[in-house]
Amino acid sequence: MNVDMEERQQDMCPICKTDRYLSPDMKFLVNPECYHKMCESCVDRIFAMGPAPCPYPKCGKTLRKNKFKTQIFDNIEVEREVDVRKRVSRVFNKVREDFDTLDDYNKYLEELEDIVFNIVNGVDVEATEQKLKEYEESNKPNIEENNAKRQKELEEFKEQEQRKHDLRMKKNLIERQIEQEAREMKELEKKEIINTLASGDGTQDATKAVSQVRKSMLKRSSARRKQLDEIMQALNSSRQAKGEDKKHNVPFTPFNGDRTSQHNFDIHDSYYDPFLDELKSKKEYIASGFEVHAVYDRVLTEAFTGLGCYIEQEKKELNDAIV
Amino acid sequence: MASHGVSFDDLYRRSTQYRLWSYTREQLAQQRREVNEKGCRKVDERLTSTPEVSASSIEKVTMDEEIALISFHARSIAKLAKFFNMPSQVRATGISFFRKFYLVNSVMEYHPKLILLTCLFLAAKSENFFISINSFSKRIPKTTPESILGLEFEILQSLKFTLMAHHPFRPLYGFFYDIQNVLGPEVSTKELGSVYDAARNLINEALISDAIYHFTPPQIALACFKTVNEELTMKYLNKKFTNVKVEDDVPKSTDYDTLVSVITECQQVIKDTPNPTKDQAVMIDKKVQFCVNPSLVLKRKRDTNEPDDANKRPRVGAVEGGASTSP
Repeated sequence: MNVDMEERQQDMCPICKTDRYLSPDMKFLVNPECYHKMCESCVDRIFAMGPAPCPYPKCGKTLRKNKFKTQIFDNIEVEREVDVRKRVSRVFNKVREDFDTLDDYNKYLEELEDIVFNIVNGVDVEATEQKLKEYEESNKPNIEENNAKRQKELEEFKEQEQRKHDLRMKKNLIERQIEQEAREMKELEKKEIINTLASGDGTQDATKAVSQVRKSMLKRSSARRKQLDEIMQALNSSRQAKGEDKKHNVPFTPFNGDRTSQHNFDIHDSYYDPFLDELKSKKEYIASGFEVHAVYDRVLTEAFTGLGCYIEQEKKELNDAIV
Repeated sequence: MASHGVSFDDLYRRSTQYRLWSYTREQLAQQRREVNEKGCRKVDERLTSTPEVSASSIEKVTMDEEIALISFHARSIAKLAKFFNMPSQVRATGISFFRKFYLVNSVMEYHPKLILLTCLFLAAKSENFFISINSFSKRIPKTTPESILGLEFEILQSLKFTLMAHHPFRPLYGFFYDIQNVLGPEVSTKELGSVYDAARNLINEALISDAIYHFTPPQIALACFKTVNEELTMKYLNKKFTNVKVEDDVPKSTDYDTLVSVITECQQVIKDTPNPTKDQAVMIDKKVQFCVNPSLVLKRKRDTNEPDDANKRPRVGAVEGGASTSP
């Protein structure tokens, strides 16, 4: 019964008592001043004429219509903290690169967390707000610059994603076109053959026609294929650019990362190997993730694993040492 | 060394193949001598428990005979693996298990004919080539799933539960690539391909030799290459390992002269692989059967009704003669 009431309350505007059951389009809004929720029509009604006090009993805070927003989190506490965090981090917007040492950065983060905590939990709110304001005043140019930088980065990332998306779409389109053409081609051939059979003469002409059609089709499809290759290359290159950053990092090893990165061999992109060439062109191998470079890497690594272990000599030394 | 990080060679030194199954020649000989003595003691024990058999009617197997018999049966593992269409990796591991088992036990304790089946089955499992025990034993006459599986634990124990075996096949493949890389247009791909195939066949021989105890897989692979085509291999080694830029922070791990001398030694060891004829093997086998089960002597006496010694002497001489020609 209790739960039922609560649920009902969640779906009912406390001001005008409109129920979601009756008006399913109803939206709840909150104002970051006091986080009292009310429905959209109430906001329109009460605050259309400019700032007005919150209609909740005993609240009385002055609210403005343009500050109202949709509630993202169910829990008002969480919603409030997220808002505060957003506001504070717009001012405290440095990143790790802006500091010389990790300690400095951690101190900075600690300060930020303190402010957020104070504001959210109502500890020394005024003093904290004052501090925030002072900081903002004194670091204004820096803050703006940083914000602009973040914005730019975000835009670049979005642009890149968009580019990738476009390329992928184009690739899909071309692939579909190729398929379609292949289908058409088959159909056409069939038709031609039936025609020839029906007419019963001029076989020569029919095959000629077919071959002509086929030629033009091939030309088109090869052009498409070329386009497809280009797109694939572009896609791969953007992926590789990312991969290169990773290469500089030391890979995980069970030996605390103390493996030497020095090899006495280079892995080339391809070798003469009819056996492997056959495998790498097979569809079922490609689909299951067969990577020819993994093979190169493995066999070359094994070729140089233990090459410099001279058992006779080393075991003898070991034996002598024990004796 | 530690400041330079762990090299590939250090990694190999951490493998069980290096730590437990690599020996100098003296160590290997010592090990085999001990095993042979252990086997002899076992036969003596059996004799005391069957007093009706006279000790003189049993001929113990010598160390050389053991080696000959084991290498004979190692070859039959290869044949059996071919019969089952197993990959070379499984075949090689089976042979390696079998030979390692007889570095711990004597043929006079366990008859190789049974051990080799279990070793091959175990190798198929450890190399991820699934075959069910029923279909395995069905295709081999006079076996049951129990007779094969019964020995599994004993073998595992003798192997000290080390199932990882590094074979020269992949290193050989790696050198096939690296030679292309280093020599480039100096060697035709066709020639290299045929050299590779021949070297790969030679590895099968190397697996039965003592090379697997004295040398590392890449060294064996290079030795096989060198045996097949010395000129090509030396050209490669020369270009690869002499006049290498020695950087300060890289420890010089492979020294050309040492490497070549080690490979040449390895070639010799592979060449000396014992290859006993079937007749020789059958002789030793007979002796082993009596050692494993002394009461067979009585049975045979009853069957033939002939004095045992007179019949056996000349044969033994022939076997010993045969074994000494192929140490």
